[in-house]
Amino acid sequence: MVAFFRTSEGARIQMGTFEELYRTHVQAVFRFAMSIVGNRETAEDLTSEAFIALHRNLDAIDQSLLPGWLLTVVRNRARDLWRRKIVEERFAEGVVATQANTAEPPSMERWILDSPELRPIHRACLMLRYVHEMTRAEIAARLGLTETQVKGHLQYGLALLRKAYKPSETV
Amino acid sequence: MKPPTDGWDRDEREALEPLEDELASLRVRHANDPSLDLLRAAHADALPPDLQARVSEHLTGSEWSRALVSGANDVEHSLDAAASDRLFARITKSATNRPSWFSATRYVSRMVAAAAALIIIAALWMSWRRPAPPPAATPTEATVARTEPSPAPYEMPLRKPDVRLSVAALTWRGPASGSSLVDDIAPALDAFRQSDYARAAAALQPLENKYPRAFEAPYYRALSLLLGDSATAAIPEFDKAALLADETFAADVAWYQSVAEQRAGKIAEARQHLESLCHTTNARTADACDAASKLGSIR
Repeated sequence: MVAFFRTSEGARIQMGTFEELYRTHVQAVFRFAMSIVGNRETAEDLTSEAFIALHRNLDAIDQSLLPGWLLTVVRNRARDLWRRKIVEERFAEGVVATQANTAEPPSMERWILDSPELRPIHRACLMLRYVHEMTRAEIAARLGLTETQVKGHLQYGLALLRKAYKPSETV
Repeated sequence: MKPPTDGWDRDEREALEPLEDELASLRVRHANDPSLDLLRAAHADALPPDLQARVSEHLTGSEWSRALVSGANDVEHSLDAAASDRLFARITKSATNRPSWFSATRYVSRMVAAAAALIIIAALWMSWRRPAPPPAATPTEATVARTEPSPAPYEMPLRKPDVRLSVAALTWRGPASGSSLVDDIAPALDAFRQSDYARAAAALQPLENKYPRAFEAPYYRALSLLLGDSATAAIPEFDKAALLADETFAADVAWYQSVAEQRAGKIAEARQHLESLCHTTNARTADACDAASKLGSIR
C-alpha cells in the first residue's frame, strides 16, 4: 500500500509504503506502549491498534505528525483500557486515597532515593521487592525483565544496602 | 518479617534482618500508594480524566512513586525482528479485513456529507442574498454558528529530575589542597533536592565561573530557574549545559530546554529541540514526539 501525505500547502505527495512507515516507527511506538502498560502482550496490542488506525488514515494525515500521531492513538487506547478496567473491577474506589504521605520519611527511603550508586532500575527493584513485597517473578513481569535480571539488580542493590547499613553505622 | 511468597534467599535474610523496623515503617508508609500500573499510566497521561487527576496529584507529591516510574522506564524495550514481522502481519491482516458493509457504509456516509454540505452552502447563499432583518425578528439567529471555546493551551509536563552527576564530576580532582567539585556543589544540590530553587540557583552561579568545564553547574542552575518559574532566565543556562553535556545527559538537557522555551513562549525553538529528540532513540523520545505534535497543532 502506498502512503500519501498532505504537505502544509495541501498537496498530496507520495512518501513511501505503509510498511516503510511501520518499520520506521514501530520501535518508538512499542517502547511508548511498554512505558504505559509494562506488559509486552498489551503493548503489542496497543501498537497494533495504532498502526491499524494509521493504515485507515494514510491519505489524510500529515507525515510531520508521525510518530506523535501514533503515540496519541496508543495513549487513547490505553485510556480506554483503563475505563474498561474501572467498570469491570470497580477499580476507582480502591485508588481514592492517593494523597502522597508528606510525613518525614525513614532514613532508608532517603537512602534508596538518593544513593548515587543506584540506577533507577535498581531502586525500582529494591522498592518492589522489599517494600511492596513482590516476588521476583512479579517484578520481572511488571518491569518487562527476566527473573535473572531482577535477581542481578537485587543483588547489586542489596550489597550497597548492606554497606550503607553496617551495624552501628546507620545512615 | 514476612517473606514474599517466593521466600528470601540467604543474602536477603542476612541483609534485611537488622533493618526489619525500617522496612516495616516503609511498608506502612507506602501501603496505600497507587499501583505501579496506575503510576506509569498516569505518568504518560493515559488514564481517564478523573483518575488521571488523582494519580497525577499523588505523583507530584511523592518522590518515591516518581522513582518507581523512573525505574520502570529505565528498561530499554524493543521488538526483535521476528516479533516485528509477526506484528506487521497481524496489523495488515486486521487492517484489510474490513467487514463487507464497510465500503457501502462509507459510500453512503460520503453521499450524506456531500448533500449536507450543499444544503449549508445553499442556506448561506440565501442568507447573504437577503437584506439582514432586525436582530430580534431574525429566524436565522439560531443558526448562527457558535464560537467554540478555544482549547486550553498545551503545557509541556515539568517533573523534577533526580540529581545525578556526570562521570567527569565524580572523577574530577582539583589541586591537592583545594576542594573538589563534588564537595563544592553538594550544598547547592541539597537545596535543589529540597526544592529550594532560589537558594540552589544562587549557590550554583559562582560555581559556573569556578568550574567552567563542569556540566552540573549550568544544568542544575537552569533546572532551578525553570522549576522556580524563571523559564526565560533558564534558557541561556541550558545553552551552556548543552555545550558541556555528555551523551548521558544530552537528551535530558534538550528536553528541559524545550520545556523552558515553551514556557517562555519560544514555541518554534521548543519544537526544533523536540523534533531532534523525537527522531533519535533516547529516554525522552516518546514524550518529545508527543509534545512536538501537540505544540505543532497549536502553532
